[in-house]
Amino acid sequence: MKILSLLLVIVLFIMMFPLVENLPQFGDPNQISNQKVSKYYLEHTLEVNDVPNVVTAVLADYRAFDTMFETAVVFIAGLAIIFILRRPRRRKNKNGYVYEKLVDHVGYQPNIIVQTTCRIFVPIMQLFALYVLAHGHHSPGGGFQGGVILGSMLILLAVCFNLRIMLQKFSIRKHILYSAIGVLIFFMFGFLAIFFGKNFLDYTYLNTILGLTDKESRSLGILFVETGVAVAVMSVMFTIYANLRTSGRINTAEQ
Amino acid sequence: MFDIVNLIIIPLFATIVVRIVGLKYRNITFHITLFSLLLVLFIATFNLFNIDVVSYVMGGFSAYKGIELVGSKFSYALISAITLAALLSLINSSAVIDRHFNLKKVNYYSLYLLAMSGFIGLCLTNDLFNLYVFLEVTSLSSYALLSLGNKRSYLSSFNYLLIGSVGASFYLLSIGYLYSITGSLNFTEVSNIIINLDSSIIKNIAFAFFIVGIFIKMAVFPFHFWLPNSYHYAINPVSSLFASVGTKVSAFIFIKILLGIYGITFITQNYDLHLLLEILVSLAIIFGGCFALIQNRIKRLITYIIVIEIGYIVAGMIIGTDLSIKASMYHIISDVFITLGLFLFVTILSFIVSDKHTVNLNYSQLYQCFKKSKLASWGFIIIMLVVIGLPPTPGFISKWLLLTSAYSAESYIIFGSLIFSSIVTVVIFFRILESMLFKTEFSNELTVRKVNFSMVLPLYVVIFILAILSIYSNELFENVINPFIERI
Amino acid sequence: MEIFLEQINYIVFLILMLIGVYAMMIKNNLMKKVIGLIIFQTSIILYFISLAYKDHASIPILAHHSGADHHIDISHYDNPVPHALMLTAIVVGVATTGLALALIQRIYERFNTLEEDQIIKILKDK
Repeated sequence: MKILSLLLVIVLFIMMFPLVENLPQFGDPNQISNQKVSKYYLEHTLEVNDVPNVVTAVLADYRAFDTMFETAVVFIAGLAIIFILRRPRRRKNKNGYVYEKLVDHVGYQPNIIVQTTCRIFVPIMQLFALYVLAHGHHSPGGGFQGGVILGSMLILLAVCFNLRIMLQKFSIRKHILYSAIGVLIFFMFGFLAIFFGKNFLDYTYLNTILGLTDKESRSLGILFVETGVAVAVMSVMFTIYANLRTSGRINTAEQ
Repeated sequence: MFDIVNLIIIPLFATIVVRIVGLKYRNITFHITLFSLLLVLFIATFNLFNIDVVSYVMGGFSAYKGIELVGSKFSYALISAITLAALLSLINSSAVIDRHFNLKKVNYYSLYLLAMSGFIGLCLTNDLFNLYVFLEVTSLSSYALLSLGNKRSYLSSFNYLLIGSVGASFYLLSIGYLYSITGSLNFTEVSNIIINLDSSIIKNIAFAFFIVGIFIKMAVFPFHFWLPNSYHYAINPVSSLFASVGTKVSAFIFIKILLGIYGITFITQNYDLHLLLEILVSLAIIFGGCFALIQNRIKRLITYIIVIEIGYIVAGMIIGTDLSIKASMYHIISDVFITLGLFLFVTILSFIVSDKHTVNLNYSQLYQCFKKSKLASWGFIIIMLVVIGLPPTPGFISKWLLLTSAYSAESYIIFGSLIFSSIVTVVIFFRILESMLFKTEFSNELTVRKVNFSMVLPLYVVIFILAILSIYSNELFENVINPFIERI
Repeated sequence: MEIFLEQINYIVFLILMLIGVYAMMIKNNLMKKVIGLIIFQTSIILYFISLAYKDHASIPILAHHSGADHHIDISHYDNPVPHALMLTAIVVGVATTGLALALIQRIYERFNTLEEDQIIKILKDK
């Protein structure tokens, strides 16, 4: 079986190797994938959005529908992990009731160096995450990146301190609520456009509410939408970590 | 109110509402789900009867610069069919979830609505990368929902995850190749460029990766191994949703991209490719038939019938004549209801037989079903008649059109496999009839429960809709299917 | 041969993809199959990003001369569209990996092993 698979893989490699020369030249600035849509985005995005970071403009304005469903994918991941791993504490077995063993003492080893370092790092990480989120217009960054940094800040707290204390302060129910609110923020900023007669996810309705020009309202719409994405990603990152670490047996009551 | 974008965003909004409200009030989540799916069904049927082809661009940009949604009458018909299937599975699922999985209720309904949002988006979108995102939305929710049940379901869902992710990644790779030679991601723009491009090697590589990816999602012969296990070990309402909706929407994507970007002559004029695909499809139908014959468990038997039916749809595309493509498209819509009816019967049967949420059903338990509820048994017999293809039913219409076009296009391999599968389904039908009506010595099971009419009602709704599909098949062909083919 | 060295990105993508597929096919441990899946998805992301590269070009962030109507030369900036698409693909990969790991944890609790041949043996014995 192993030799057969190895032969199959080698045959596939030998078959596809000569086809590589038909693909566009690596680094060619005139290949057709750089014309058409990509050229339009690079040349016109300053007039349409006033956002110099073209990747953020494409992600959150031109292809905002994709990004909304990508946030929904993140939300599905959080929901699905809770769905798969959480189980009731009390189960009926053949002989009576069975109680699931809860993972209560999750690695509490007080170590002053680790805790002090964590206390120094966490505010810096929060500030940096908000900077990455807000500065996504002008430098590499945006909603996902900021959300991941916030999520890793929460995971750092859970690793350095006790997971149980983290969950007491910020329970899984709150995380589920925040991830749903993150998707809701994104959805609402797109949905309100329909009430003003425009298409879904057309941010220019903000110029009737706030009195801005088209360019500025699109730029502001991108910022709001990225905030929603960051909140959702932060909560889901920590939910995935907490559930995978304790295998679903967390000592908090609900679903 | 009746914009096509509402069809996608109503389930998305409903899932957020369900998840937030469900933190406190858990019993109302079922009603929110029901209401949102009813609203989607209403908008879809309104669009089906009144509105023609519509194009909707997100964000107020022009068509090739943003993400475009295109609704045609066939996509509205397919969306109405899948929403109806979701509604009937939902009604069944409330009983099972309330009784056995009460703690997972809110997440279950949220994942259910997200899966429906993804399926509806797959039918409507006109942008290739957006199709990949919707494909992943539906796949991820199906991996999670199909893993509910007994301990074996986690393993089968894991196998489905591995092979389904490979399939979706192959689709992504194929649109990467198409992007490198066209520079655009919009379906109409790509099809305009590629139809004029003759025999480019990249076009063929993209086609190869696309075929492999979409055959994995559709469960056609060499890649169908995930389907029997994952639908057999899942709980009944979840399998009835994904079995009737999942593979059919992937078949619709296959037809759309094959006809739109490559054109049917790409397959029919390339002799080697045509022969290879013909053999593959015939093997799909023959293997499905053989495995269905040797099965003793009813639910697994039905999953192999799904493999055969998908084989019919792909065979219609491979034969390549006008009539066979129309037969495939008609068969997509009728197969949604056939599969739904079969799984609804399985739900009723497992309710009669036992109290647990997963139970092994053999032929021997069909007799108890016949004694306890004659309505359900006759319903099952009628749906099996549709699968065989008795004259007035929709199964007959599609099979007859496929047989005549296979004969006239000289695809004798496909013709032979179609006849073989018809014989197989007739044998299975008589086996079912015999164990239902005549075998009396297996009725020793103790826990046989009574079934009230409201459980059998969804089955008869499905039969009613199959009857409508066959009576109005002429109008269906004229108004719904032909314009789709002419447009592309 | 120089043609192939110029298109080195496609060769690397092909090698990575085949390594991922090979790992998924022959490795016995379910965790290693998941790692093969991750390698496979990463190779496709590499392919898209390498499509976006232009020689002597900088990142796709426009030099922002405020208000001035400068002509933007697109050969100075990388193609932004595959970058945006691959952000989505990376997130999808993360979600799939999280789901796979959760399923593996449940499988381990049931079968007490993650080796595929032992699982098949346990299932046959039942």
